[in-house]
Amino acid sequence: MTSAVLRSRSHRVHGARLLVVAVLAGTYELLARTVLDPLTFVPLSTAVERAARLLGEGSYRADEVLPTIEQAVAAVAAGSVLGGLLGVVLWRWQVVDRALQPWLLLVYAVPIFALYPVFIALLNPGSLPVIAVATVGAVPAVAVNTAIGLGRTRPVLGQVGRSFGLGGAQIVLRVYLPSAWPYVFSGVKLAASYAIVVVIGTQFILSTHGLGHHIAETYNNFDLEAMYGSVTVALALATFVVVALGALERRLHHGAVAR
Amino acid sequence: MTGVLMEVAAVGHRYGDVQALGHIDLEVAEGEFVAICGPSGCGKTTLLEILSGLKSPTDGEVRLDGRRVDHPQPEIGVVFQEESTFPWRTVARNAAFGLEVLGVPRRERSARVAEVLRTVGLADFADAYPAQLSGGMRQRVAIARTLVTRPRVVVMDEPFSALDEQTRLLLGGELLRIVGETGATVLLVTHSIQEAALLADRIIVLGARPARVRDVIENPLPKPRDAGVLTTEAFAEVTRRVWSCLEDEAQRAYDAGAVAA
Repeated sequence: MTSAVLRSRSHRVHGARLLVVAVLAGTYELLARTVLDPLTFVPLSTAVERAARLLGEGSYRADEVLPTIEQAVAAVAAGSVLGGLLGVVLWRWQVVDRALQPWLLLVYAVPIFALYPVFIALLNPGSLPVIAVATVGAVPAVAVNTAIGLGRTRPVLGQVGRSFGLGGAQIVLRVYLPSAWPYVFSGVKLAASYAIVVVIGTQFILSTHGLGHHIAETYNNFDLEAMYGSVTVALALATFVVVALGALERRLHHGAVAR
Repeated sequence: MTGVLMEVAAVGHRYGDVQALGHIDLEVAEGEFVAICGPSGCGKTTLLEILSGLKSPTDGEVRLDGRRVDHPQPEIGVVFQEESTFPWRTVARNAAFGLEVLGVPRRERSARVAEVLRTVGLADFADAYPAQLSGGMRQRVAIARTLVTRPRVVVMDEPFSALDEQTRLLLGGELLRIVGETGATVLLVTHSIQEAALLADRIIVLGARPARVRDVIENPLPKPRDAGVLTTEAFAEVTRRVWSCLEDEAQRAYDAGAVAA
Protein backbone atom coordinates (compact mmCIF):
# COMPACT_ATOMS: atom_id res chain seq x y z
CA MET A 1 0.00 0.00 0.00
CA THR A 2 1.49 3.37 -0.96
CA SER A 3 2.13 6.11 1.59
CA ALA A 4 -0.27 8.42 -0.34
CA VAL A 5 -3.11 5.90 0.13
CA LEU A 6 -2.21 5.53 3.84
CA ARG A 7 -2.14 9.32 4.28
CA SER A 8 -5.50 9.70 2.57
CA ARG A 9 -7.01 6.98 4.79
CA SER A 10 -5.53 8.62 7.89
CA HIS A 11 -7.03 11.99 6.90
CA ARG A 12 -10.46 10.37 6.46
CA VAL A 13 -10.21 8.78 9.94
CA HIS A 14 -9.23 12.10 11.53
CA GLY A 15 -12.09 13.81 9.65
CA ALA A 16 -14.58 11.22 10.93
CA ARG A 17 -13.37 11.71 14.53
CA LEU A 18 -13.74 15.49 14.30
CA LEU A 19 -17.18 15.05 12.75
CA VAL A 20 -18.33 12.90 15.72
CA VAL A 21 -17.13 15.59 18.17
CA ALA A 22 -18.77 18.36 16.10
CA VAL A 23 -22.11 16.47 15.92
CA LEU A 24 -22.11 15.81 19.70
CA ALA A 25 -21.16 19.43 20.48
CA GLY A 26 -23.77 20.79 18.06
CA THR A 27 -26.49 18.51 19.47
CA TYR A 28 -25.68 19.58 23.03
CA GLU A 29 -25.63 23.26 22.03
CA LEU A 30 -29.04 22.91 20.38
CA LEU A 31 -30.57 20.99 23.31
CA ALA A 32 -29.12 23.40 25.90
CA ARG A 33 -30.64 26.36 24.01
CA THR A 34 -34.05 24.73 23.51
CA VAL A 35 -35.29 21.91 25.76
CA LEU A 36 -32.76 21.45 28.61
CA ASP A 37 -33.14 23.22 31.97
CA PRO A 38 -31.11 26.50 31.67
CA LEU A 39 -30.44 26.44 35.45
CA THR A 40 -28.60 23.14 35.07
CA PHE A 41 -27.19 23.08 31.53
CA VAL A 42 -25.11 25.93 30.08
CA PRO A 43 -24.74 25.99 26.27
CA LEU A 44 -21.31 24.93 24.99
CA SER A 45 -20.65 28.26 23.29
CA THR A 46 -21.25 30.04 26.61
CA ALA A 47 -19.01 27.60 28.45
CA VAL A 48 -16.21 28.08 25.87
CA GLU A 49 -16.59 31.85 26.05
CA ARG A 50 -16.44 31.72 29.87
CA ALA A 51 -13.42 29.39 29.72
CA ALA A 52 -11.62 31.89 27.49
CA ARG A 53 -12.41 34.70 29.93
CA LEU A 54 -11.25 32.64 32.90
CA LEU A 55 -8.00 31.79 31.14
CA GLY A 56 -7.50 35.50 30.53
CA GLU A 57 -7.46 36.10 34.31
CA GLY A 58 -3.98 35.86 35.82
CA SER A 59 -5.28 34.71 39.24
CA TYR A 60 -7.24 31.83 37.59
CA ARG A 61 -4.20 30.69 35.65
CA ALA A 62 -1.95 30.93 38.73
CA ASP A 63 -4.34 29.46 41.34
CA GLU A 64 -6.35 26.90 39.39
CA VAL A 65 -4.70 25.88 36.09
CA LEU A 66 -1.02 25.95 37.00
CA PRO A 67 -1.34 23.88 40.22
CA THR A 68 -3.36 21.28 38.28
CA ILE A 69 -0.70 21.02 35.56
CA GLU A 70 2.14 20.96 38.11
CA GLN A 71 0.48 18.28 40.22
CA ALA A 72 -0.40 16.13 37.19
CA VAL A 73 3.12 16.43 35.73
CA ALA A 74 4.70 15.60 39.10
CA ALA A 75 2.40 12.59 39.51
CA VAL A 76 3.13 11.29 35.99
CA ALA A 77 6.87 11.76 36.53
CA ALA A 78 6.83 10.02 39.93
CA GLY A 79 4.42 7.35 38.65
CA SER A 80 6.61 6.69 35.60
CA VAL A 81 9.81 6.32 37.61
CA LEU A 82 8.24 4.18 40.37
CA GLY A 83 6.10 2.25 37.87
CA GLY A 84 9.11 1.63 35.61
CA LEU A 85 11.15 0.27 38.53
CA LEU A 86 8.24 -1.84 39.74
CA GLY A 87 7.77 -3.12 36.17
CA VAL A 88 11.40 -4.31 36.11
CA VAL A 89 10.83 -6.08 39.45
CA LEU A 90 7.60 -7.73 38.18
CA TRP A 91 9.39 -8.90 35.02
CA ARG A 92 12.50 -10.12 36.82
CA TRP A 93 10.75 -11.95 39.68
CA GLN A 94 7.71 -13.93 38.57
CA VAL A 95 6.72 -14.61 42.19
CA VAL A 96 6.38 -10.88 42.88
CA ASP A 97 4.44 -10.49 39.61
CA ARG A 98 1.96 -13.22 40.55
CA ALA A 99 1.60 -11.82 44.09
CA LEU A 100 1.08 -8.17 43.07
CA GLN A 101 -0.93 -8.43 39.81
CA PRO A 102 -4.38 -8.62 41.50
CA TRP A 103 -3.56 -5.64 43.74
CA LEU A 104 -2.28 -3.56 40.84
CA LEU A 105 -5.47 -4.16 38.88
CA LEU A 106 -7.50 -3.40 42.02
CA VAL A 107 -6.19 0.20 42.02
CA TYR A 108 -8.47 0.91 39.04
CA ALA A 109 -11.46 -0.81 40.63
CA VAL A 110 -11.48 1.19 43.88
CA PRO A 111 -12.02 4.94 44.44
CA ILE A 112 -8.45 5.90 45.26
CA PHE A 113 -9.66 9.46 46.02
CA ALA A 114 -10.63 7.89 49.34
CA LEU A 115 -6.92 7.77 50.20
CA TYR A 116 -6.69 11.57 50.05
CA PRO A 117 -7.45 12.20 53.74
CA VAL A 118 -4.87 9.56 54.68
CA PHE A 119 -2.21 11.32 52.61
CA ILE A 120 -3.24 14.71 54.08
CA ALA A 121 -2.66 13.23 57.54
CA LEU A 122 0.73 11.91 56.42
CA LEU A 123 1.93 14.82 54.25
CA ASN A 124 -0.06 17.86 55.52
CA PRO A 125 -2.49 19.82 53.30
CA GLY A 126 -1.15 21.21 50.02
CA SER A 127 0.04 19.82 46.72
CA LEU A 128 1.90 16.79 48.09
CA PRO A 129 -1.14 14.68 49.10
CA VAL A 130 -2.79 15.37 45.71
CA ILE A 131 0.39 14.30 43.91
CA ALA A 132 0.67 11.24 46.15
CA VAL A 133 -2.88 10.04 45.37
CA ALA A 134 -2.39 10.65 41.63
CA THR A 135 0.96 8.84 41.74
CA VAL A 136 -0.78 5.80 43.27
CA GLY A 137 -3.15 5.99 40.29
CA ALA A 138 -0.31 6.32 37.76
CA VAL A 139 2.08 3.59 39.00
CA PRO A 140 0.12 0.43 38.02
CA ALA A 141 -0.37 1.45 34.36
CA VAL A 142 3.36 2.05 33.89
CA ALA A 143 4.41 -0.99 35.95
CA VAL A 144 2.13 -3.48 34.19
CA ASN A 145 2.98 -2.17 30.72
CA THR A 146 6.71 -2.10 31.47
CA ALA A 147 6.59 -5.71 32.68
CA ILE A 148 4.67 -6.77 29.55
CA GLY A 149 7.13 -4.96 27.26
CA LEU A 150 10.18 -6.46 28.97
CA GLY A 151 8.59 -9.92 28.88
CA ARG A 152 7.97 -9.64 25.16
CA THR A 153 11.58 -8.76 24.38
CA ARG A 154 13.14 -11.70 22.55
CA PRO A 155 15.95 -13.26 24.66
CA VAL A 156 18.30 -13.26 21.66
CA LEU A 157 18.46 -9.45 21.90
CA GLY A 158 19.78 -9.80 25.45
CA GLN A 159 22.27 -12.38 24.14
CA VAL A 160 23.48 -9.79 21.61
CA GLY A 161 24.09 -7.39 24.50
CA ARG A 162 25.98 -10.09 26.40
CA SER A 163 28.08 -10.94 23.34
CA PHE A 164 29.28 -7.31 23.32
CA GLY A 165 30.33 -7.68 26.96
CA LEU A 166 27.42 -5.86 28.63
CA GLY A 167 26.53 -6.78 32.22
CA GLY A 168 23.02 -7.35 33.59
CA ALA A 169 22.06 -3.74 34.40
CA GLN A 170 23.57 -2.46 31.14
CA ILE A 171 21.61 -5.05 29.14
CA VAL A 172 18.39 -3.90 30.83
CA LEU A 173 19.19 -0.24 30.07
CA ARG A 174 20.54 -0.61 26.54
CA VAL A 175 18.48 -3.53 25.23
CA TYR A 176 15.43 -4.48 27.29
CA LEU A 177 14.11 -1.00 28.11
CA PRO A 178 14.45 0.38 24.55
CA SER A 179 12.76 -2.80 23.30
CA ALA A 180 9.95 -2.40 25.85
CA TRP A 181 9.66 1.36 25.23
CA PRO A 182 6.45 1.24 23.08
CA TYR A 183 4.72 -0.60 25.94
CA VAL A 184 6.25 1.68 28.59
CA PHE A 185 5.10 4.73 26.64
CA SER A 186 1.55 3.35 26.36
CA GLY A 187 1.67 2.94 30.14
CA VAL A 188 2.84 6.55 30.58
CA LYS A 189 -0.02 7.70 28.31
CA LEU A 190 -2.54 5.81 30.41
CA ALA A 191 -0.86 7.09 33.59
CA ALA A 192 -1.17 10.68 32.33
CA SER A 193 -4.92 10.20 31.73
CA TYR A 194 -5.40 8.65 35.19
CA ALA A 195 -3.25 11.33 36.83
CA ILE A 196 -5.33 14.18 35.36
CA VAL A 197 -8.57 12.48 36.43
CA VAL A 198 -7.26 11.76 39.93
CA VAL A 199 -5.67 15.21 40.41
CA ILE A 200 -8.85 17.07 39.41
CA GLY A 201 -11.04 14.59 41.32
CA THR A 202 -8.91 14.90 44.45
CA GLN A 203 -8.94 18.71 44.24
CA PHE A 204 -12.73 18.50 44.70
CA ILE A 205 -12.12 17.39 48.30
CA LEU A 206 -10.52 19.74 50.82
CA SER A 207 -8.14 21.34 48.32
CA THR A 208 -7.76 25.14 48.14
CA HIS A 209 -6.39 25.37 44.59
CA GLY A 210 -6.79 23.68 41.22
CA LEU A 211 -9.42 23.15 38.54
CA GLY A 212 -11.24 20.54 40.66
CA HIS A 213 -11.42 22.97 43.56
CA HIS A 214 -12.70 25.74 41.24
CA ILE A 215 -15.38 23.47 39.75
CA ALA A 216 -16.56 22.41 43.22
CA GLU A 217 -16.49 25.97 44.57
CA THR A 218 -18.44 27.49 41.64
CA TYR A 219 -20.95 24.61 41.83
CA ASN A 220 -21.53 25.30 45.52
CA ASN A 221 -21.92 29.05 44.75
CA PHE A 222 -24.44 28.34 41.92
CA ASP A 223 -22.08 30.07 39.45
CA LEU A 224 -22.90 27.58 36.67
CA GLU A 225 -21.25 29.50 33.83
CA ALA A 226 -17.92 29.61 35.68
CA MET A 227 -18.31 25.94 36.62
CA TYR A 228 -18.91 24.94 32.99
CA GLY A 229 -16.02 27.22 31.98
CA SER A 230 -13.67 25.30 34.29
CA VAL A 231 -15.07 21.96 33.12
CA THR A 232 -14.28 23.08 29.55
CA VAL A 233 -10.73 24.04 30.55
CA ALA A 234 -10.30 20.64 32.25
CA LEU A 235 -11.59 18.82 29.14
CA ALA A 236 -9.34 20.88 26.86
CA LEU A 237 -6.32 20.18 29.07
CA ALA A 238 -6.98 16.41 29.15
CA THR A 239 -7.62 16.31 25.39
CA PHE A 240 -4.44 18.26 24.68
CA VAL A 241 -2.34 15.90 26.83
CA VAL A 242 -3.79 12.75 25.21
CA VAL A 243 -3.44 14.11 21.65
CA ALA A 244 0.09 15.45 22.29
CA LEU A 245 1.27 12.16 23.83
CA GLY A 246 -0.32 10.23 20.95
CA ALA A 247 1.50 12.42 18.41
CA LEU A 248 4.77 12.00 20.34
CA GLU A 249 4.25 8.23 20.42
CA ARG A 250 3.73 8.08 16.64
CA ARG A 251 6.81 10.23 16.09
CA LEU A 252 9.01 8.15 18.42
CA HIS A 253 7.94 4.80 16.95
CA HIS A 254 7.98 5.96 13.35
CA GLY A 255 9.39 3.22 11.14
CA ALA A 256 9.96 0.71 13.91
CA VAL A 257 6.35 -0.23 14.54
CA ALA A 258 5.93 -3.19 12.19
CA ARG A 259 7.92 -5.63 14.31
CA MET B 1 48.08 -22.24 7.53
CA THR B 2 49.35 -19.31 9.58
CA GLY B 3 49.68 -19.29 13.40
CA VAL B 4 47.03 -20.80 15.68
CA LEU B 5 44.59 -18.12 16.88
CA MET B 6 42.04 -20.15 18.81
CA GLU B 7 42.50 -23.42 20.64
CA VAL B 8 39.72 -25.60 21.94
CA ALA B 9 41.34 -27.92 24.48
CA ALA B 10 39.43 -30.99 25.77
CA VAL B 11 36.21 -28.99 26.00
CA GLY B 12 33.19 -30.81 27.38
CA HIS B 13 29.92 -29.65 28.87
CA ARG B 14 27.29 -31.21 31.09
CA TYR B 15 23.76 -30.03 31.84
CA GLY B 16 23.12 -31.78 35.15
CA ASP B 17 23.35 -35.49 34.33
CA VAL B 18 23.29 -34.95 30.58
CA GLN B 19 26.63 -34.84 28.78
CA ALA B 20 25.96 -32.40 25.91
CA LEU B 21 29.51 -32.12 24.61
CA GLY B 22 32.02 -34.95 24.82
CA HIS B 23 35.63 -34.02 24.42
CA ILE B 24 36.39 -31.49 21.71
CA ASP B 25 39.90 -30.58 20.59
CA LEU B 26 40.32 -28.06 17.83
CA GLU B 27 42.77 -25.48 16.54
CA VAL B 28 41.80 -22.57 14.31
CA ALA B 29 44.35 -20.58 12.35
CA GLU B 30 44.21 -16.82 11.84
CA GLY B 31 42.12 -15.95 8.75
CA GLU B 32 40.70 -19.47 8.49
CA PHE B 33 37.02 -20.20 7.77
CA VAL B 34 36.00 -23.29 9.72
CA ALA B 35 32.55 -24.88 9.52
CA ILE B 36 31.35 -27.06 12.39
CA CYS B 37 28.76 -29.47 11.09
CA GLY B 38 26.81 -32.02 13.09
CA PRO B 39 23.49 -33.81 13.43
CA SER B 40 20.52 -32.18 15.14
CA GLY B 41 20.81 -31.93 18.93
CA CYS B 42 24.52 -32.82 19.00
CA GLY B 43 25.44 -29.73 21.05
CA LYS B 44 26.48 -27.36 18.26
CA THR B 45 24.85 -24.35 19.91
CA THR B 46 26.39 -25.21 23.29
CA LEU B 47 29.79 -25.36 21.58
CA LEU B 48 29.13 -21.98 19.95
CA GLU B 49 28.23 -20.42 23.30
CA ILE B 50 31.45 -21.79 24.78
CA LEU B 51 33.57 -20.57 21.84
CA SER B 52 32.10 -17.07 22.13
CA GLY B 53 32.55 -16.90 25.92
CA LEU B 54 28.79 -16.79 26.58
CA LYS B 55 29.06 -20.05 28.53
CA SER B 56 31.92 -21.61 30.51
CA PRO B 57 32.57 -25.27 29.74
CA THR B 58 32.34 -27.75 32.60
CA ASP B 59 35.54 -29.41 31.25
CA GLY B 60 38.54 -28.09 29.34
CA GLU B 61 39.03 -24.56 28.07
CA VAL B 62 39.04 -22.31 25.02
CA ARG B 63 42.05 -20.07 24.45
CA LEU B 64 42.40 -17.08 22.16
CA ASP B 65 46.02 -16.18 21.51
CA GLY B 66 46.87 -18.30 24.54
CA ARG B 67 44.45 -16.42 26.84
CA ARG B 68 41.54 -18.29 28.36
CA VAL B 69 38.11 -17.33 27.01
CA ASP B 70 35.71 -17.37 29.96
CA HIS B 71 33.52 -14.35 29.18
CA PRO B 72 32.34 -12.44 26.08
CA GLN B 73 35.01 -10.13 24.73
CA PRO B 74 35.36 -7.62 21.87
CA GLU B 75 37.85 -9.86 20.06
CA ILE B 76 35.12 -12.47 19.52
CA GLY B 77 32.03 -11.42 17.57
CA VAL B 78 28.84 -13.47 17.44
CA VAL B 79 26.15 -13.69 14.74
CA PHE B 80 23.08 -15.46 16.05
CA GLN B 81 20.78 -17.93 14.34
CA GLU B 82 17.63 -16.04 15.31
CA GLU B 83 16.83 -12.66 13.80
CA SER B 84 18.62 -10.35 16.21
CA THR B 85 18.53 -6.80 14.88
CA PHE B 86 17.24 -4.15 17.29
CA PRO B 87 13.85 -3.09 15.84
CA TRP B 88 13.95 0.35 17.50
CA ARG B 89 17.27 1.29 15.86
CA THR B 90 17.90 2.21 12.24
CA VAL B 91 20.30 0.09 10.18
CA ALA B 92 23.15 2.54 10.87
CA ARG B 93 22.41 2.66 14.61
CA ASN B 94 22.15 -1.14 14.74
CA ALA B 95 25.57 -1.36 13.13
CA ALA B 96 26.92 1.22 15.58
CA PHE B 97 25.76 -0.65 18.71
CA GLY B 98 29.03 -2.46 19.46
CA LEU B 99 31.06 0.70 18.87
CA GLU B 100 28.82 2.62 21.29
CA VAL B 101 29.36 -0.11 23.91
CA LEU B 102 33.11 0.11 23.38
CA GLY B 103 33.01 3.92 23.73
CA VAL B 104 34.33 4.67 20.23
CA PRO B 105 34.05 8.46 19.53
CA ARG B 106 31.07 9.56 17.40
CA ARG B 107 33.09 10.68 14.37
CA GLU B 108 35.06 7.44 14.15
CA ARG B 109 31.86 5.50 14.76
CA SER B 110 30.12 7.15 11.79
CA ALA B 111 33.07 6.47 9.48
CA ARG B 112 33.31 2.81 10.49
CA VAL B 113 29.55 2.28 10.23
CA ALA B 114 29.52 3.82 6.73
CA GLU B 115 32.40 1.55 5.73
CA VAL B 116 30.83 -1.66 7.07
CA LEU B 117 27.44 -0.83 5.50
CA ARG B 118 29.20 -0.43 2.14
CA THR B 119 30.87 -3.79 2.70
CA VAL B 120 27.58 -5.60 3.35
CA GLY B 121 25.79 -3.69 0.58
CA LEU B 122 23.42 -1.72 2.81
CA ALA B 123 24.81 1.80 2.38
CA ASP B 124 21.52 2.95 0.80
CA PHE B 125 19.50 1.61 3.74
CA ALA B 126 21.36 3.32 6.59
CA ASP B 127 18.24 5.18 7.77
CA ALA B 128 15.80 2.29 7.31
CA TYR B 129 14.41 0.30 10.22
CA PRO B 130 14.71 -3.52 10.32
CA ALA B 131 10.93 -3.82 9.87
CA GLN B 132 11.37 -2.24 6.44
CA LEU B 133 13.96 -4.82 5.32
CA SER B 134 13.83 -8.41 4.06
CA GLY B 135 15.06 -11.30 6.24
CA GLY B 136 18.31 -11.54 4.28
CA MET B 137 18.98 -7.82 4.64
CA ARG B 138 18.32 -7.99 8.39
CA GLN B 139 20.86 -10.79 8.72
CA ARG B 140 23.34 -8.63 6.82
CA VAL B 141 22.68 -5.87 9.38
CA ALA B 142 23.48 -8.36 12.16
CA ILE B 143 26.69 -9.35 10.35
CA ALA B 144 27.62 -5.66 9.92
CA ARG B 145 26.97 -5.03 13.64
CA THR B 146 29.42 -7.84 14.47
CA LEU B 147 32.09 -6.98 11.91
CA VAL B 148 32.19 -3.24 12.66
CA THR B 149 34.01 -3.83 15.95
CA ARG B 150 36.69 -5.72 13.96
CA PRO B 151 36.70 -8.89 16.05
CA ARG B 152 39.53 -11.30 15.42
CA VAL B 153 37.14 -14.26 15.45
CA VAL B 154 33.54 -14.25 14.23
CA VAL B 155 31.40 -17.09 15.56
CA MET B 156 28.23 -17.72 13.56
CA ASP B 157 25.36 -19.92 14.68
CA GLU B 158 23.50 -21.07 11.55
CA PRO B 159 23.08 -17.43 10.53
CA PHE B 160 21.10 -18.23 7.38
CA SER B 161 18.84 -20.98 8.70
CA ALA B 162 15.74 -18.75 8.88
CA LEU B 163 16.11 -17.77 5.21
CA ASP B 164 14.91 -19.47 2.04
CA GLU B 165 17.33 -21.68 0.10
CA GLN B 166 18.07 -19.18 -2.69
CA THR B 167 18.74 -16.30 -0.28
CA ARG B 168 20.95 -18.58 1.82
CA LEU B 169 23.15 -19.44 -1.14
CA LEU B 170 23.40 -15.85 -2.34
CA LEU B 171 24.11 -14.60 1.19
CA GLY B 172 26.70 -17.37 1.60
CA GLY B 173 28.52 -16.00 -1.45
CA GLU B 174 28.22 -12.49 0.01
CA LEU B 175 29.64 -13.70 3.32
CA LEU B 176 32.69 -15.16 1.57
CA ARG B 177 33.32 -11.83 -0.14
CA ILE B 178 32.86 -9.87 3.11
CA VAL B 179 35.12 -12.20 5.08
CA GLY B 180 37.68 -12.02 2.26
CA GLU B 181 37.66 -8.22 2.50
CA THR B 182 37.89 -8.07 6.30
CA GLY B 183 40.28 -10.99 6.76
CA ALA B 184 38.27 -12.21 9.78
CA THR B 185 38.62 -15.71 11.17
CA VAL B 186 35.23 -17.41 11.06
CA LEU B 187 33.75 -20.33 12.97
CA LEU B 188 30.44 -21.25 11.37
CA VAL B 189 28.15 -23.67 13.19
CA THR B 190 25.73 -25.23 10.72
CA HIS B 191 23.70 -28.33 10.01
CA SER B 192 23.79 -27.60 6.26
CA ILE B 193 26.34 -29.69 4.38
CA GLN B 194 26.02 -27.45 1.30
CA GLU B 195 26.64 -24.32 3.34
CA ALA B 196 29.71 -25.87 4.97
CA ALA B 197 31.11 -27.02 1.63
CA LEU B 198 30.46 -23.68 -0.05
CA LEU B 199 31.98 -21.50 2.66
CA ALA B 200 34.61 -23.32 4.70
CA ASP B 201 38.32 -23.97 4.31
CA ARG B 202 37.94 -26.82 6.77
CA ILE B 203 34.86 -28.74 7.89
CA ILE B 204 34.73 -30.24 11.38
CA VAL B 205 32.16 -33.03 11.52
CA LEU B 206 30.74 -33.69 14.99
CA GLY B 207 29.16 -36.94 16.12
CA ALA B 208 25.79 -37.37 17.80
CA ARG B 209 25.40 -36.30 21.45
CA PRO B 210 27.63 -36.14 23.38
CA ALA B 211 29.39 -34.45 20.47
CA ARG B 212 32.98 -35.37 19.64
CA VAL B 213 35.00 -34.52 16.57
CA ARG B 214 34.14 -37.32 14.15
CA ASP B 215 36.26 -36.12 11.25
CA VAL B 216 38.07 -33.09 9.86
CA ILE B 217 37.74 -32.48 6.13
CA GLU B 218 40.01 -30.06 4.29
CA ASN B 219 38.01 -28.33 1.57
CA PRO B 220 40.01 -28.46 -1.69
CA LEU B 221 37.68 -26.08 -3.59
CA PRO B 222 39.67 -23.06 -4.78
CA LYS B 223 38.92 -19.55 -3.51
CA PRO B 224 37.40 -17.10 -4.25
CA ARG B 225 34.16 -19.08 -4.50
CA ASP B 226 30.57 -18.14 -5.12
CA ALA B 227 27.27 -19.99 -5.55
CA GLY B 228 28.43 -21.02 -9.06
CA VAL B 229 30.63 -23.70 -7.46
CA LEU B 230 27.49 -25.61 -6.40
CA THR B 231 27.14 -27.33 -9.76
CA THR B 232 30.74 -28.58 -9.98
CA GLU B 233 31.88 -32.18 -9.56
CA ALA B 234 34.44 -31.09 -6.93
CA PHE B 235 31.67 -29.56 -4.79
CA ALA B 236 29.62 -32.76 -5.06
CA GLU B 237 32.68 -34.73 -3.91
CA VAL B 238 33.11 -32.52 -0.80
CA THR B 239 29.44 -32.82 0.18
CA ARG B 240 29.59 -36.60 -0.41
CA ARG B 241 32.57 -36.88 1.95
CA VAL B 242 30.85 -34.79 4.62
CA TRP B 243 27.63 -36.77 4.31
CA SER B 244 29.47 -40.12 4.47
CA CYS B 245 30.93 -38.99 7.84
CA LEU B 246 27.66 -37.57 9.02
CA GLU B 247 25.17 -40.21 7.85
CA ASP B 248 25.69 -42.73 10.68
CA GLU B 249 25.75 -39.95 13.29
CA ALA B 250 22.59 -38.34 11.90
CA GLN B 251 20.88 -41.76 11.97
CA ARG B 252 21.99 -42.28 15.60
CA ALA B 253 20.68 -38.84 16.55
CA TYR B 254 17.43 -39.52 14.68
CA ASP B 255 16.99 -42.93 16.35
CA ALA B 256 17.70 -41.43 19.78
CA GLY B 257 15.15 -38.70 19.08
CA ALA B 258 12.56 -41.24 17.91
CA VAL B 259 13.10 -43.34 21.06
CA ALA B 260 12.87 -40.26 23.29
CA ALA B 261 9.68 -39.18 21.52
